[in-house]
Amino acid sequence: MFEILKDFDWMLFLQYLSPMLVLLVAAAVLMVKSILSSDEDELGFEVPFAITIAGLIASFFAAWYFWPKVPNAMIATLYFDRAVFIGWMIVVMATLSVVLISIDTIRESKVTYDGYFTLVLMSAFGMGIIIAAANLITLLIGLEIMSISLYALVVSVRRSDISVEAGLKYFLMGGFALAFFLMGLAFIFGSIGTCDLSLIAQRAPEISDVGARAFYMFGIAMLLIGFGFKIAIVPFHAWAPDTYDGSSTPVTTLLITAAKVAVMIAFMRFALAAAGTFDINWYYVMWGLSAITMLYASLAAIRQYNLKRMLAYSSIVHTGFMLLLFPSAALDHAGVVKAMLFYLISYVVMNIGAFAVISTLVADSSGEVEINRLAGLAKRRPLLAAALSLFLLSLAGFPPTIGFFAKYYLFLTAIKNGDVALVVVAIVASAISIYYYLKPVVVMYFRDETEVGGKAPFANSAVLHPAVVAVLVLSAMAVVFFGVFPNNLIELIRASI
Amino acid sequence: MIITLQHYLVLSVILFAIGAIGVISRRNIFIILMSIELMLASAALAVLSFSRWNLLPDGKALVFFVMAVIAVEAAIGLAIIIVVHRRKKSVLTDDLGLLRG
Repeated sequence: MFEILKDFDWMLFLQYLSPMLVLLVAAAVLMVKSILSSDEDELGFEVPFAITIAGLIASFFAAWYFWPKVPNAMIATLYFDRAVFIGWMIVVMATLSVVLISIDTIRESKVTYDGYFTLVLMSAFGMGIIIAAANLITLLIGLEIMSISLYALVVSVRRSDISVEAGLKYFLMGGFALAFFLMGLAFIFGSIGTCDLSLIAQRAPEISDVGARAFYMFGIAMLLIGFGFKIAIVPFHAWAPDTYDGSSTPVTTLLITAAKVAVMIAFMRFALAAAGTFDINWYYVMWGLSAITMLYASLAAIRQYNLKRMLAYSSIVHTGFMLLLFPSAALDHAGVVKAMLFYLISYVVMNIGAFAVISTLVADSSGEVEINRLAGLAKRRPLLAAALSLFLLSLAGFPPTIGFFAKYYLFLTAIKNGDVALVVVAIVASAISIYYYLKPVVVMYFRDETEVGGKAPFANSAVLHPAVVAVLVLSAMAVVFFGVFPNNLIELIRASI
Repeated sequence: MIITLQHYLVLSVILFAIGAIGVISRRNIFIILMSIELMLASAALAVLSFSRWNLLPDGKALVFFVMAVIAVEAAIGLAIIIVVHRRKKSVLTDDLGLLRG
């Protein structure tokens, strides 16, 4: 493990790590600023906001600059290939959108601007390490950097006591997951003698000793449970709806988009290494997890009357869709990576849009985002209602949107690998999903506000912040543009493998 | 009796199971946090015993990472418990019923 650290090019390493290091530097600057500044300075919003935005934009363009030049190699314990930089750009864009839609929320909650932006940047840095990790230990450290910042974010950016509880639940489940992850790491390390993913892929099929084989299988199972908690696969999902619903909307957006993308990419790397050759046990386990995640979460989403909670379950359904690729992942590594990256991009764009709308709705009325209270929104705020409808239709996968093509390529890849039965399950789940995605649309367009039972309907007076408008317009444009011309995006991803 | 790798691994798995049962069955947040720490420590024990018996010197370095992670988890956990206690005046999960299912 550590012999790899003896001879490698530090300069090259720092150069390719620079997109992620930029965020670390920005976070450090904010931390120092918050120590040095007096109480009145902490109320200032512009400086920390400017530092954060500058860091994120610099990071994005650094990744953009290095993207065509990366060596497709492992330096020290991080991968630097184009897929890493694509993943990193997705995470940075998601984080940037979260920062932009959080302006009003942060003003109302008690957290300081310096603290909030530091935590956001640190969690994004952790996500970068997770995406690039070529080694289970690096992955562990990245997961911790991300999770610790997110626990603090969920608890500190609070709209009420519910956020504190959501944070507690998230922390306890995160710690529980971490224990499984560590146990898996211990047993894989013990049976193979390394934590390096490519070496695991190389040596795993060669284990001949029965005892070592059993240890290895046990380790893989434990790691799978750990990942299952982190990305909310169904038997391990109980924390997810509560945490997503209880946190304030920008933090939910960060959890549901950027954090999930990062861990999903790490899971994909782990799966391609662990199931480097086709394995029948792996096939059945992943098949079952994917099917049960899609079906259970779809049925649970139908029952929700709270828009945020419904979207939380919908994100679990989308996780199930992504798992569709994994049973036969060994047959077509490149195809899996392509379909996955495309799906992740569309997933992030659609969810950012939907949550940007929710954050403006919540801004003028604290409490739950009940679907009934959307009644008549189309008359009062036609553009906002149209935007939310567009994102929901895209999440459901209707044709002229990015969600349709993402699902199409996902199903196509799975069918090519021979998982036809699983695709049928996915289509059933999609059919169910049309019901719960269309429910808010119907309420917005076809129900009068007088029918709302006792509670005030949403968004009579909310003034949209220009930053939120920018996020909404950009994500709506991306949803439609890549829905009509998906080839641009596909070429970009094809060039990334 | 000669102590072998298997003994240590069995001990580690037993500690892990005790911790898992504690997390699931206990109602006091402190006890749950302690159970999580026990699970993490049992993983560290497994790493060390593998490193000792399979002659993997890297394991001794790996275990420091694990210990750092355990310490960080404890720190953030206690901070969160303080916030919860300030808000709800209780550290029992039964008293925190706002989010269920």
